[in-house]
Amino acid sequence: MGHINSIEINRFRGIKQLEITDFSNINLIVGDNNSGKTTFLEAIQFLFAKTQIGSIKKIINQRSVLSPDRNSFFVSFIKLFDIDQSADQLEFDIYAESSNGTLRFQLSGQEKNISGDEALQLSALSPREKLQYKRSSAFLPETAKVFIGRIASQTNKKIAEQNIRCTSMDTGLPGVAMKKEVQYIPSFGHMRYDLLQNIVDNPEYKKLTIDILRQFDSEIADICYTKADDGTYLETIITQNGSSMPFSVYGDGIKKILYILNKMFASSDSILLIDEIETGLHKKYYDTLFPVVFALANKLNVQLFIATHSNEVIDAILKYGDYENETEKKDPIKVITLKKIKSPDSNAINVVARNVTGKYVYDNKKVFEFEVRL
Amino acid sequence: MMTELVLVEGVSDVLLISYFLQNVYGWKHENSNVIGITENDAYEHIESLAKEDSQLILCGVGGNGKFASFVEKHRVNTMLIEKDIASLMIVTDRDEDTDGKIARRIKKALGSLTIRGGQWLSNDITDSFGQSKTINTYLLVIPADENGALERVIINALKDIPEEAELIKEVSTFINSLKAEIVPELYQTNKSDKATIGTFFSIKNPQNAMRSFVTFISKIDWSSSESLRQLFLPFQYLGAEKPEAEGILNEK
Repeated sequence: MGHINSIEINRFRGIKQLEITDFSNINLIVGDNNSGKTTFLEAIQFLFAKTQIGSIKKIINQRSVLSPDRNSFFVSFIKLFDIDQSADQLEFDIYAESSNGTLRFQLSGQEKNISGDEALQLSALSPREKLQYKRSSAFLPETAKVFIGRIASQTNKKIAEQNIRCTSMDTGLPGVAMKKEVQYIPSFGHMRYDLLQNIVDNPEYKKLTIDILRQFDSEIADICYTKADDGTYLETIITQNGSSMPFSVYGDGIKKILYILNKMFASSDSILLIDEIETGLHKKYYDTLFPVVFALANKLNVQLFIATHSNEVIDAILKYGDYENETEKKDPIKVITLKKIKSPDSNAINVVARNVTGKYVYDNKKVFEFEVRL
Repeated sequence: MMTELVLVEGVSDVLLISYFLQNVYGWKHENSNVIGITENDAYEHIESLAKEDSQLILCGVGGNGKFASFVEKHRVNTMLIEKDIASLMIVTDRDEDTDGKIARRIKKALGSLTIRGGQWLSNDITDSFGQSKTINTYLLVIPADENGALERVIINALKDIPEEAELIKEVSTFINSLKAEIVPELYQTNKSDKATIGTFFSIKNPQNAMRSFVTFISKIDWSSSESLRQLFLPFQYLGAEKPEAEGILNEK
């Protein structure tokens, strides 16, 4: 079991200090553009990151899932720290209470200017890559930057610490797989395919998935990998009349649904983070999809954090709360609105949160214009 | 953008105050309001007015004694926390009560907010993001210094509008003449006032005699009544900075 009950985020990206308590099983994360929704989802992932720079890179790279530019790791890395911090004293700290005890991730260190040559020596490039760089010295920058610091993490009573170093010339650091406790769905993740990994080898999950897909397209008979003429494997839908249809011929909706289900199966007894759930989905599917997703999350004991901009998504998710029928059961939905505010004293920008129940939102929306997204 | 919320008793209050705000203080009618509050039933009446970048939402709560149920049904206390509302003004009939008694009754419905007759109070509250904000409150009890209700305010106003003064005086005399033998019920001030108003407008506009008060409102130049101007003086602060309260903040 790896659900989180509360989180405290300090000096992380645009968040100076933010504490949110009393999460539920379904947590809607809403707010304006640039209010910190994706940052919040990243913070949760850091709680489960390894004390290796590759683990950080994997989280950072999610923001540029469709971007061909992979050369900006160092810049993205430094942007993890609150912009108002001094370069010689950088630190962020994320702390949570979970069903497994305390979780903590702390990254601290300093950024320095060094020569390109020094950076090359300090970088994580292989000796061969360093040699290649030296041979083509025209491309070696005169000045570069280095970050020297330390990662500390805590999982319950287990504490791990690691010194780290990276330079602005490190572009090829390998990403490290996240621990099983958290899965993340970026808004355009479904466009990368890899949608069947956790489904096809599990007959129960596969049957469940096909049953769900049939609610959206009754012609779907099976999902599997098929071998293409060039020997590669294609993710394929088999139709009722026996035709093999690669996913590429299907629209974003089916792919998004499959992507969510695929990640859901990988999130059993843990956490699933879904960024901008509405991307690729037509709103007419919401009322069918969300009850299925929530029932499945309940069955697999998955805690959901769903970021959205869409009022239709919010309304469709609130329907799951069944608030017209008063019951004594605990509200399964929390609606967390993030908002950027300017401190009246220092003009510094911080992120604040409103954390209310689904019923509170539902009741307010019935009688006045209660805007949860701001 | 400043949003002002004004709760009054009935539709007649809404219409008279709306008339006054439009003709004396320069507010203009608007079709919708930024809060998204709408009538729950046929007895409630909601009007929206705008001036420069401010909006004023005038809510008739459905009659005497309906403030608490209106506040509850429309989740007004939550609305004050969640929406960007600068002030809450409540206009209510005095009938035979004191300002203090009325304020205590209204305050029960308003939870932690403090309200006081004839005084702007600044209430510091915390919104659901944990941020401080200020809600100004004002309780206007009408008439100001005698028993009665809106009808009494209207009679007083008509008495000091030169074109209406003679007729209202004659009608009042007539209604008084009925009390002793023909309609003893008119000894009750509220009924006598209602009869006076009804008779006045029926004579003033016989063609509309069978219609409601709504029809008559626009037939009178209320802005020329000095007593009404004095009574409604607190409205000058709607859409504007409120005067500082005299040392009563967050009174429990």
